[in-house]
Parts: sequence; structure tokens; C-alpha cells
Amino acid sequence: MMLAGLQVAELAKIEPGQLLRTYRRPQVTMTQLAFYCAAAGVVDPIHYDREFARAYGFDDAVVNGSLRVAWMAQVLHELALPHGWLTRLACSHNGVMLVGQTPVIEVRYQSHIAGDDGTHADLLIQTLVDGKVCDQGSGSVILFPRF
Amino acid sequence: MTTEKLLSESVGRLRNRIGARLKDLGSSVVDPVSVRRYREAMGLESNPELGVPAMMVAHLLRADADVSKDQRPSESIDDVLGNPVNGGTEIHFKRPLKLGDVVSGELILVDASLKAGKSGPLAVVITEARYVDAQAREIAKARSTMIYRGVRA
Repeated sequence: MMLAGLQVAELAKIEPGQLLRTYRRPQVTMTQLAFYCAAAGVVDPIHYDREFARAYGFDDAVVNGSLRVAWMAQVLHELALPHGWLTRLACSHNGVMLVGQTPVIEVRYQSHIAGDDGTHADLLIQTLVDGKVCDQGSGSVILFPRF
Repeated sequence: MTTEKLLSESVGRLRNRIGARLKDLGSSVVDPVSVRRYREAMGLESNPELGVPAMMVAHLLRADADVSKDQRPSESIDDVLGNPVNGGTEIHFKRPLKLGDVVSGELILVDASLKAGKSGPLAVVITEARYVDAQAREIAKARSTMIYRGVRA
């Protein structure tokens, strides 16, 4: 995704709740869902068979919840690079995401603290589709860890 | 027997197993081909040297896929609970996954309870998948909440 990593100086200048990064994902395609189901071992046809999904009451093929979580985790992880990593992600789904939609992931600052092992930042994250929140949660990253 | 009674009995049985290992998730190696495929599927540049996506840990040890039927898989934790919805996930990572890591996992029952929902009783079941490396050091743990809104047909 290649997001710019967080800097401690950047965190020192912002207020809780302030938007840190916005990542606009490309439109989700059927090819991507098929590849994801194969890579992750998902065998639920609602994710890769549009007619099957419609028979279950969805408007189209359903984007995997685990793929949505994987995107959020990747965004937070990339914010901690090149030296740090994602240490925690808690999230829940508020709605269904369908193939053809274009998710937008927003990360907001919550707090940060300098510890013995590095700087820890707590962040809020949400995924929106057409302005509506589909996923929301919080995450923590460690920046510039000391070993 | 009413749905509430069936849910209550199922939760009671699960509560007797809190802390028990529900499943040995097996062991797997973080290999470059799998990482490439997973990165591609996420829409990332495919080069595995660019890093192992954090959530790949949850898929390394997946159960064998049954491709013999085009039907939705059952995600119930027992023979009674049905109509599940995901109630949220919390994952802690001790360190990033690396190419060549050997990952083993187990699934633990953390909690089971009966709650009142807007449309009737709900069984709330929390499990935790624990992932360790070849030296048995923790890599990650993922706590999942599943809400069962009824019983199996």
C-alpha cells in the first residue's frame, strides 16, 4: 500500500481524533475475491459466486470479513515501518461490503507514549464505503523499537 | 424444547470446557510462494521479500477445504448453536511474521455466555487462537467473538 510511516515528531503535533492518513483502495474485483479465497482457503461461495450470493439475499458477491481485517492490519503495520510493527488490532464489522465497491480506510490518532522498548502509538481505524462505516476498530503500533 | 433452553444447555456444556483446547491447529512454514499469493490477493505488490502480511498468520493453519460441494460452510462450535455472526476480533502481535518461520497453533475456549438480544436469546462464545514459533515463543494471539442467534435446523 506504501503509506508514509509515522514519525514521533508528527505525533507530538496532533490532537486526539485528528485524521492521520487516508488510504483509498481500488475497486474490489471478482478476480481479487477469487484469489483471496484461494490464498486464505475460504470455501464459502457467497464470496466468489455472484448468483449464489444473490440466492442468499446479498446484492452481489460479498467481500470477505477477513480480507477487510487484513487490509486494516496492513495499513497500521505500514504506518509503523520501517522499524516497527503492528502490535494490536481490535475491530468489528458494521455492514456488508460487496464486490465493485471502493473502500476507504481512515486512521486517526488517539495517543502515544514513549516506553523503554520504543514509542507506542494508539490509533483509531475505520473503513468506509460510500461514506458509511463498514468496519471500525483500534490498533496499536510500536515505532522505533529498542531491543 | 425451546430455542432458549437449547441455547442455555449448549452454553452450559461449553462453560464446563472454558480454558480447554478445542483444536490443534497444526503447524506450517511461512514460505515465499504462499506469501506471494496472499500479497497478490490483498492487492499488494507480490514480492514476498517486502514482508509477510500480519493477518496471514490466521490463514497459515487453516483447516482443509472441502471443495466437494457448493454450499456455505457451517461455522458452529458445536452441534446445537446456529445462525452465527461475527462479534469482533482482537489480535495481538508479539513480532512480525518472517519468511521461514515455522508456526504452530491451537484454539482455546475462553468464554461462553447467554445474553438477551433484541429478537431473543443469544449465545456468545469467545475463542482464542494462539500462534507460536518453532521455539514455542508466542508470535500472535487472535481472540474472536461469535454470536449465535439460534440453533441449527
